[in-house]
Amino acid sequence: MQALRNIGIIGRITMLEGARKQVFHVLMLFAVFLIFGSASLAKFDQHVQMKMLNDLCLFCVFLVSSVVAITITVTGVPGEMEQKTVYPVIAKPVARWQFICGKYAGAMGTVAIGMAIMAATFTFLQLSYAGHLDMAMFYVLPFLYLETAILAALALWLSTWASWPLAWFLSVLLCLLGNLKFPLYDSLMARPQSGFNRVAINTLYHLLPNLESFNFKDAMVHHLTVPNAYLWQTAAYGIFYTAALLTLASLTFARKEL
Amino acid sequence: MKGNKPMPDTAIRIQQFTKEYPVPRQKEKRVAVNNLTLTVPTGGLFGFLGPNGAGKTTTIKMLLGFLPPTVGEAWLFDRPVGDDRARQRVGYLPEQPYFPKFLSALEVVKAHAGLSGLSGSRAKERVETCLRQVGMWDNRHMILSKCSKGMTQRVGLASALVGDPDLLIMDEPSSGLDPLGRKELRELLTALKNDGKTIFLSSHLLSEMESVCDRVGVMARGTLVACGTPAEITQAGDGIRVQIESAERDEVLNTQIKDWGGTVEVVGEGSAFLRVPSAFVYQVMGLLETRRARLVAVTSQRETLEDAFLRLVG
Amino acid sequence: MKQIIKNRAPWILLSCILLTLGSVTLLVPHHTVQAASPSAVSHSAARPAAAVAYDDGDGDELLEHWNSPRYGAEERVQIGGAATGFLLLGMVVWGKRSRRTASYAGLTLVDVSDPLKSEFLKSEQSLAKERKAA
Repeated sequence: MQALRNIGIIGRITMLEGARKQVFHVLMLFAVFLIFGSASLAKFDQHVQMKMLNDLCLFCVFLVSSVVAITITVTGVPGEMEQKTVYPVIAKPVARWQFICGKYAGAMGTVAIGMAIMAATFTFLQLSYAGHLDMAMFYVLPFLYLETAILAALALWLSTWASWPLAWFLSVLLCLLGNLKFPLYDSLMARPQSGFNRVAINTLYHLLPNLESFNFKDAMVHHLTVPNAYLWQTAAYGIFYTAALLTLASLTFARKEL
Repeated sequence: MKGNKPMPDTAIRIQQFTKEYPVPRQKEKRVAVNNLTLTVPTGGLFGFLGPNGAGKTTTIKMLLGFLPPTVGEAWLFDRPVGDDRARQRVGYLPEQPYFPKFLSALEVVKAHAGLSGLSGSRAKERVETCLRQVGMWDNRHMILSKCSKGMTQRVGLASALVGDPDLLIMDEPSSGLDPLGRKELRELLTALKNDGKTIFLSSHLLSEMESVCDRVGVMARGTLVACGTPAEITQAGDGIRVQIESAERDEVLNTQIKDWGGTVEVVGEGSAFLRVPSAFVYQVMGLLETRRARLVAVTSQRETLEDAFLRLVG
Repeated sequence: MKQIIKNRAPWILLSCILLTLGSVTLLVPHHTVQAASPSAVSHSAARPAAAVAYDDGDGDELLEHWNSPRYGAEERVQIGGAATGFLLLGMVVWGKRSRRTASYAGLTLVDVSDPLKSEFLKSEQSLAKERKAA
């Protein structure tokens, strides 16, 4: 119980700090500007216009949320260590894994605030253009959030052993690879590979997160139906993958000399 | 927060603490702390002294589990330091406490109350008491990025105290404080000591330590060179120092003082310091009266903690 | 009862691993759900395939992954991997904790029997008592 309280307290501090940062405000303004900008780009008949609007807006939500999630988590733990803010917290009866989970929860809280702002803007645009709200938004956006949750956990794990610029670079790289996992694998395996390379490629293939799984943008844009079972499984997948990365981050941080 | 277990007799027990750091491109390792064995009993103020780089902060970091020792073990209230619960009864004030800049003093202390296991009205009450104790209650809504170094130090102290810890570990607590703040800190430390708390305080401000510490440990180059009460550490000199003012150079007085095994040090026109064994104190007074020299001050000649420190470390 | 559970911990955890793996295998489809995807029938779940199940004719059919068995299978493999990892980690942590408890018990016994250590403790205790009396 106290462990959950500790995570909540550290998360609250991280969220307050993240949401009060100027860079977050600038990113939010940028996102709102992009969403409104996408409306001015979509100048076609109403059907095509709505498709374009949904497509562009959801891409914008994903882009900004990912940047916020990666930036906050990647600078969180190294920043705490550099500025020595970690000492007063760890000196309390707080386990290292609670600190990691707290930092993560705080970062995801900040992302949630950002996503809520962008979703409100998006809803406003949908209502003004189409006159009604597309209900698919209620599962498309949570899955986008789950995707950023994986990215944030990945960035957090990387930041426990790499410097923050390297962790940022690797997070972005893994985000791209995670989104292109299948086509990339196919193109690599289409070429003749040595036995070692095949094993290495297959191992990496199974370790990389499949971020494309969380992308249901097309279902909303083209009004397609996604099977419920697949949605549940993908949600479980996201939670498991995030939990695994957080465990790795906690194990790495527990061995770190502060 | 606290159990009903009786308080152990030992607050800190360190056995053979050694910390080595690898040096880049060198085979040999740098020894920060070397085979340190130390016991701090419950209650009282323990001064952990040493010059910069002596290994004081490294020892504190190992005690709080920030760093694993290369060799050795330690216990806080009989719990091994590797156990997170060992820090349940501990408050810590780092050398330069840093907190998230965008938070207010109240938010920071409240968060630390929660992390110490306090909640509800008890937490509220402790937060207010501690902020008042360190003189930050009126500035409680001030954002930390706008606070001075001294104010941040006070917030750090409030955060360390908020859990009502039995053991308070402080690393250079008076750095960043003005003379008034230092006086207040000394008073606070004395009050905490009288409340039965154990205070483990690392510092190199020896004059301050001397007046408040019950026991001190002196570290030099990673090794504990002395440990005991300040009286045990300082060498008691068997003599007195007499400051006098005399209209002219008095050869009779000088000769007599030298006969008693003392020295005369002329420090200015008509002013001198006489150093004599304390057995001759009354004879010196009689001599001064006979020679019509004006007595300014008589002090016992005892080694200060600073002198002892320089002797031990030097 | 508690002791029995502690002693049998590795076996309990092992059976949990087997159960988890079993449930994950159950999740993997034994018949392919390619009713709408004739092209995917030729691809096994383990070996990823290049083609996709469903095409709505908008040209970006590669993105419609939810009808592709390849995506679902890969998710299940990774879920199974993570679950196994968690259980193994649980076993390691459990083992370490029991070993540590045992070693503390041993340490207390050594402390009492070791005359040097007991003298050391005695001197500490007398010092604390003196302080309290003062």
